[in-house]
Amino acid sequence: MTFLTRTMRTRWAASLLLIAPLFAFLLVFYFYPIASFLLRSASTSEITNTIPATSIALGQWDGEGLPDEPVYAALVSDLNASAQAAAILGRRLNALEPGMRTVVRKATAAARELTLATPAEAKAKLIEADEKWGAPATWKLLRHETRVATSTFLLAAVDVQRKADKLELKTGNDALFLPIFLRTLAISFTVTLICIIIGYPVAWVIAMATPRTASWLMLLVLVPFWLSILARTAAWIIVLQGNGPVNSLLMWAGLADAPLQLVFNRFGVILVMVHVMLPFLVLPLCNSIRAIPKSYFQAAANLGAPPVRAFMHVIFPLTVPGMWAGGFIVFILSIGYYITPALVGGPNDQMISSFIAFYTNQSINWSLSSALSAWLLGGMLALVMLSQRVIGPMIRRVT
Amino acid sequence: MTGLAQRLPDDAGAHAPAKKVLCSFSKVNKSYDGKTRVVADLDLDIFQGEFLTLLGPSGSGKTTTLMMLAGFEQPNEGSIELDGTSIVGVPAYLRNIGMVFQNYALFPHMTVAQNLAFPLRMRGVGKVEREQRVKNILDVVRLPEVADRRPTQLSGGQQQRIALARALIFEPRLVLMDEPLGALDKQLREHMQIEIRQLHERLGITVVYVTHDQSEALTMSDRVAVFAHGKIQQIAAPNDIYERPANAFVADFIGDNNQLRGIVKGHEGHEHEVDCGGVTVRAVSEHQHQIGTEVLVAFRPENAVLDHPIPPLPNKFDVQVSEKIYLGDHLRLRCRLANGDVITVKISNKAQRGDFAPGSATSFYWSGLDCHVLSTEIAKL
Ligand SMILES: Nc1ncnc2c1ncn2[C@@H]1O[C@H](COP(=O)(O)OP(=O)(O)O)[C@@H](O)[C@H]1O
Ligand SMILES: [Mg+2]
Repeated sequence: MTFLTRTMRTRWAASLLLIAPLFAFLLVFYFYPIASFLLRSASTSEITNTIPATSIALGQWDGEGLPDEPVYAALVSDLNASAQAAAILGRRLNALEPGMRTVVRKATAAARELTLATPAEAKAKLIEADEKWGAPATWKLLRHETRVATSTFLLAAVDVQRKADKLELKTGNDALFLPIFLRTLAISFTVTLICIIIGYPVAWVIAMATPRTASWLMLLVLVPFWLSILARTAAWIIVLQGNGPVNSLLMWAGLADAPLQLVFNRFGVILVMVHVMLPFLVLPLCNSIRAIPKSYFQAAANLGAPPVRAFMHVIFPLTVPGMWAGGFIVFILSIGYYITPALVGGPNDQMISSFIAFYTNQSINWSLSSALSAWLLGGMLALVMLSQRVIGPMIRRVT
Repeated sequence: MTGLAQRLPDDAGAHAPAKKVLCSFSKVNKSYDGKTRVVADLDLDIFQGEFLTLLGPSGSGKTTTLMMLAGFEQPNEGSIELDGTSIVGVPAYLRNIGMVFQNYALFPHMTVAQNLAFPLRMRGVGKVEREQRVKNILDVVRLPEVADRRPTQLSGGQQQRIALARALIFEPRLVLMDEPLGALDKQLREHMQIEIRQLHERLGITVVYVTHDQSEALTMSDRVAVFAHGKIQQIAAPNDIYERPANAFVADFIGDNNQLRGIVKGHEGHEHEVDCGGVTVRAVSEHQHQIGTEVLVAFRPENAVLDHPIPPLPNKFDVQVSEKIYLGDHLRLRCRLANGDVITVKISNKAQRGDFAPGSATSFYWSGLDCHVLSTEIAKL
């Protein structure tokens, strides 16, 4: 017994040792960066770093009425410590509550004359500088954003805001991100559906062709992979633009009186994305069609099924796993897609990744971009798990 | 010597009751690449209700013959008739011929019951009748409890029986089986051989069975067609095939056989006298061979007679034992003739006399009826 467990334990240790380097690599270069970026969505460090003393002082405040005078004094010393930190604080608070930039700027100006003031003086002068410093709401906001973690950005990413201690869903024109999440889902779903409709016959023809023909056809499907995505997209813009070949042809054939808007709109986005994604569907589907033994086709015919019924009842169900796998890849890739909508889409065709990029590169609101990413990642994980739970067993039945 | 000849069998079928031909191939040629013929000038009659086995080495064209019957391949030349009408060009789904595939080809996404009901659904049989017939056929193959399982949840032998049931449920005119037991282990295979044979007798179906296993062919069939090089070398009842092989290929392929090369020295009726490198052998043949032609003399190891028989048998071989293999119920001896040829002798363990130690000299006898003169040529393309 003990001998057995010991050998098993050594074997365990050996295998752990073998995977350790890979595990360490993944941890350091994959999970750590992702996790630290995602943690930013709930982090308050951007604010606590600008006003460290105030953050500590606020930690002792019970949140009733106005904070005590030492809190005001701490804010004065924080604002005087670094003009840059004060500017960041203004920008951050302004993102949460419009107008706060001015409020902070006024306080910063006042603080410069209060370097040697008593806490009581500091309180009086700050309230004098801007009456908002005498309003409990302002301090409540500060206290909320200097806690260990904040849900503000995660909520904002799904259009939920906190108003007077209540959560409220932004609707109508105020809604910002939810419509974009929905748009992302809609575009991805459409692209996946069209890919399946177009890709199925392609995969079928390739799978049924003789090996020589099949390799040529497969080459045609794969050629787009060899071209940089920018070059491909630019090519589509040229083809689809107002005086491009497609419009010329349509007008020559009398199908259109004026050039149709084919690009820089939803149509263009979906068209180009389908083109980009098609190989991801065709490859797995083609494999799953090829994997069907010839004898199944023969058995179906032998048992009295004409070609179409044989396909419907026997062959198609057997290709569903491949179709699902391909469709799933296309859907997941589409949801995170960024370049195509950015290049051939209009303002109303941008997907959630464009906004993540915007908040990362331009607006430098990493907390928000990280919150959006967290929702995107969480949503995808939920989708994967759902498909494992629901579709997985369905597929396992087939294979 | 004339007495021996009279004991030879009549020509096959001369006195047998007239059988109805269900299906016939005539002058069928098949080539996949347009050059080599995989099936050549095939003439074959399949009788109503018989169990016909196509036996032959791998690549001899058995599957191709079956595929042409099932409608998955079309002959390049010749005609195939079923019930008196040509089926060349008739699509497979209209032929109403059942088939058991080597890998069973049970549809994995359907339950056993759905698999069995599939051919009935395709024929527009109503739900109630479908269920009844599925139940019946499951009883026939003695697996009533597996209806709701998936094929992958069945053992190899169970899958085999379900495949059989699916080929039978729509009451086809003809059932084809292409090496259906190839994937099973020996014990299960022997069990299924008996079961298939019993089903055949009970249901009175016509079966064309393909195998490369000669013992399977001999135990199961009413008739065996031995294939080689796309041609039928011999078609006859199992005992005829075994006891009276038509040519050297059949003699070699079916069971163990000693074959000695020799020259015909004389003949009288069916009986021949052949000089095999100094040993004169008396042997029979259905055809007469010219004096001076080179022939093969074939005789089975198990027909060896040990004791000096009275009256004496014509063929006596003086040999030196070179190898002795103990096989439980019998001994297998490799023996060297004076002229250097090697023959195999199989003797029952009970009948054993002496110890046949390697190196010892002894004699064996074969009856003239057990020795066959065969042409050195076999049917080729
Ligand atoms: N679909 C095919 N295409 C080309 N050649 C084939 C095909 N099927 C069989 N053959 C060839 O025909 C010959 C006979 O094959 P087959 O009928 O399967 O023999 P068997 O079943 O007796 O083993 C083989 O040489 C094989 O390579
Ligand atoms: Mg075969």
